[in-house]
Amino acid sequence: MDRGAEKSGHSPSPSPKVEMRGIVKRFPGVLANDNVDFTIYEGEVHALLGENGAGKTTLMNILYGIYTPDSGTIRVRGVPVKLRSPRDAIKLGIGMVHQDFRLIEAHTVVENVFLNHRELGFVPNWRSLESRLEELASNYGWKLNPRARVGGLSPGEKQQVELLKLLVRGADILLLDEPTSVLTPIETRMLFKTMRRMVEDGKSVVLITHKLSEALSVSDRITVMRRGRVVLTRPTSEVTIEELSIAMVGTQIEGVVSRARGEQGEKEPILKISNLSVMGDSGVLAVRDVNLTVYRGEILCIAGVSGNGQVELVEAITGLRKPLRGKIILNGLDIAGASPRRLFELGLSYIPPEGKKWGIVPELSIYENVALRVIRRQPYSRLGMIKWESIIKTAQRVVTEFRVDASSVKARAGSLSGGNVQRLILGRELTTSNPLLLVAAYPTKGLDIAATEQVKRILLGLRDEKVGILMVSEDLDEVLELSDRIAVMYGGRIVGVIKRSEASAEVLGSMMSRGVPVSAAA
Amino acid sequence: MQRRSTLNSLGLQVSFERRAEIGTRFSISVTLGMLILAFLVSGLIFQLLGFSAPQIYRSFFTTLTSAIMLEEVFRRSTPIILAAIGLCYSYRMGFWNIGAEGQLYLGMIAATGVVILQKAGIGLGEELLLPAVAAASMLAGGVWSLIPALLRIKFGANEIITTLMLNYTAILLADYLIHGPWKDPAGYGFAQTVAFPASSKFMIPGVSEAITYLMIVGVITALTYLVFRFTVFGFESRVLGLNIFASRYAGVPTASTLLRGVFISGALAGLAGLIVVSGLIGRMRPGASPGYGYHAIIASMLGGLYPPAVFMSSILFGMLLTGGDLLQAGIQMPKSGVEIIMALIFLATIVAEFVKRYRIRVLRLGRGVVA
Repeated sequence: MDRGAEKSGHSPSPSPKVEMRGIVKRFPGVLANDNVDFTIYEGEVHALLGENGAGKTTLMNILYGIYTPDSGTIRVRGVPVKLRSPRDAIKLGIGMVHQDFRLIEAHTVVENVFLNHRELGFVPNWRSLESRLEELASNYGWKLNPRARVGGLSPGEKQQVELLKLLVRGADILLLDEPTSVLTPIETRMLFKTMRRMVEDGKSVVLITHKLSEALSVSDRITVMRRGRVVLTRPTSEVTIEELSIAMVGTQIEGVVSRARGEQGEKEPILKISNLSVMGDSGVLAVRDVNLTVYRGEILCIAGVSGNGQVELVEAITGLRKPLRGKIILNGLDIAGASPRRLFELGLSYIPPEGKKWGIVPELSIYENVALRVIRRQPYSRLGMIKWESIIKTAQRVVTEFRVDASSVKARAGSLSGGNVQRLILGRELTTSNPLLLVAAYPTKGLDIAATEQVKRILLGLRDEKVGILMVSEDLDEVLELSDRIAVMYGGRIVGVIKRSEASAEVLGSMMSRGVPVSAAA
Repeated sequence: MQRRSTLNSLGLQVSFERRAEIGTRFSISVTLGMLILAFLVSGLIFQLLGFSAPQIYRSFFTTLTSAIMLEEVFRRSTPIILAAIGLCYSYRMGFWNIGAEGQLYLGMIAATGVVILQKAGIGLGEELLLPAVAAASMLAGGVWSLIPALLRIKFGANEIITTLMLNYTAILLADYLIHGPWKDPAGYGFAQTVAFPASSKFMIPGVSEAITYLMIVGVITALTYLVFRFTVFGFESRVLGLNIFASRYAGVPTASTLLRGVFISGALAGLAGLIVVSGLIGRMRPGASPGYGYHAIIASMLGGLYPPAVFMSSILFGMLLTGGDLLQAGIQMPKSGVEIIMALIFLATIVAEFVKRYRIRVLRLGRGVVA
């Protein structure tokens, strides 16, 4: 990215347009915003940087009137305001573009933009609205046909329609939530140009992102959030990429005590991945030529800022996504493209991310969830007939051995807390098979401290039993605590694999934020 | 989880909170309560239209008081039960099949085709006629239902639309055959096909037609209950319907499970079609089904896709249809009167589902909970 090239030299003027002070927002079980201060000045692009779940979107949803804060004050142009709905926010010139577009695909551009607009009137003068639209669009160098159906537009163009919706309503504080996640690199560059153009006109733009390079290339100021708190706010020109990456992912690297096993004798590979490429959902390569080996009795952690291909890599290994090319060898057998059920039978267990979504069926009982992976196998069923007694027996073992806190195995799995769901999944995977390899994606995400520790102990115990463990985590502290080796993913590639003993803030920071391999960084 | 809508003008705020746990007893009482409400509201509508609501209620209950009436109720419930039990397979897998009516018509067409062949001397013989028409109608209904299932698997086509459109296709195909090539030459010009011979009917010696049907549908209901309770297929189809993510993870063979379940749905609707033409009306005529396939949708929803409850709610629909006939003859209430009740029952079912899932609270702004 051409950093600085598009930026105008002037520093932000000192009059704050928005001042959020002491914002607190609590959701059941999470403190999403913990006493957050956030300021937006006139004529600045302010990047709000942080991992998924850091509280960025919550903060902006509060500013847009979607959530009301539990405490804290908001001033817009010096005046204290109470935002009860997005309508209140729009009246104050605040507009937000969500990650998922909120457009009517069957309608035209002009119809979408002026939907429910006060100038529409009873009989809309489409011609004049169209020309207004064209004028606005050309101001930003967009080539949008006002009469085109939105359903036929590219993601980049749809985003322009979303922006136009805000502009015609006079918004001058624009909140963009992960706007580049659906864009191609060229469209991204276009968007950044637009953002610079907007601030030249005196507007203010907040860019919510988890991508360091974006924040650095387009913003005037950067605020980093982590676990609901602001950890850093500084002008972009005065901050280094290392500082940012450390602020984003973790704190004192040296303070984390490793629970690694130490040097092992001979190493026996259990999983060998070579030249693996995997397509992402948007049709762009998400995993590029990955080579990776996991040995028995080790925990290999994949670290990296999320969205760099970790999920796609894990899905390809576990059979949920067909790889484009490359080999995945499990215990000597090429398993690329095999079904999740077959992989489970071959000794690959999987702890999926978002346990409640992927790992269990909340509407079913605990014992039915235990049956999920093994229902076709004896003794759980024979000739298509289920043997519930043996499933219930296994379920009771899972519940006792893994301390799933439930009134009975007949309770609905959806009534369990996050920690209990995770223990249920782990218990099922480990009780109903003897895994050779365990793939765990964000296994402690969203869990409280006690539950996190339990999950960690289970993983370490498995490692001692010679199971190979491939773990993905965005929590650097956790990575440093559990791993024997660390692989860093950046832009779909494994940019380096280092031993735990070689890990330092500088090495990890530079690999995670710039994709510079360790050899080049050292 | 919270959703809010603001009734600012009244200073009230309604909020909906998701319930964590839905108890069985609570669930049943909500459904029954809503059902009663639907009857009360329809009574009110009839009263406003100038009919006597108590009289209408009475005639529905009359259907349960004599053996002859009861037999009629069972006869008319039979196709609804078959189609509704069939729909449980589709709906439990999350396949929103509203094509039971069309699948039922295909069953009628196939069975009639076999009978016509038989009369032309091309067939398996008199004693095999019943198995032949049964197999033909189930196969036809099943294959018809596979079309939208395949369209969804291959192209992601929305089955609500495709199944609905195929209903019209099936009905028009039936009309064409009845008015055209399959018109009974000995039918004095009436638009109808040849009559079904006695050997094509389900008959258990020594029992009446209604009891025969009741036994057949009873067995099918019980089997369906067992399929969902005790078979891998039943379990996997539930998983598929509840959580598509988890079912991929669990390795449920999505396409084949879906095709099998949808085929069973269609086959049972096809069998319902056979019972209509061989038993209830004896031959194919335009409008041979008064919408059994649609009644089945409501009945399966009202029964919460739980086979025994679906059985009971289908009988309720049989009662309504029979009672409706009485009212039409007795007090000249139009046929659409019964449809009003059915529509209200459908609405009540939807509202009941909502009430089960959400706790509704009305807040006065700035104050506490009102109700």
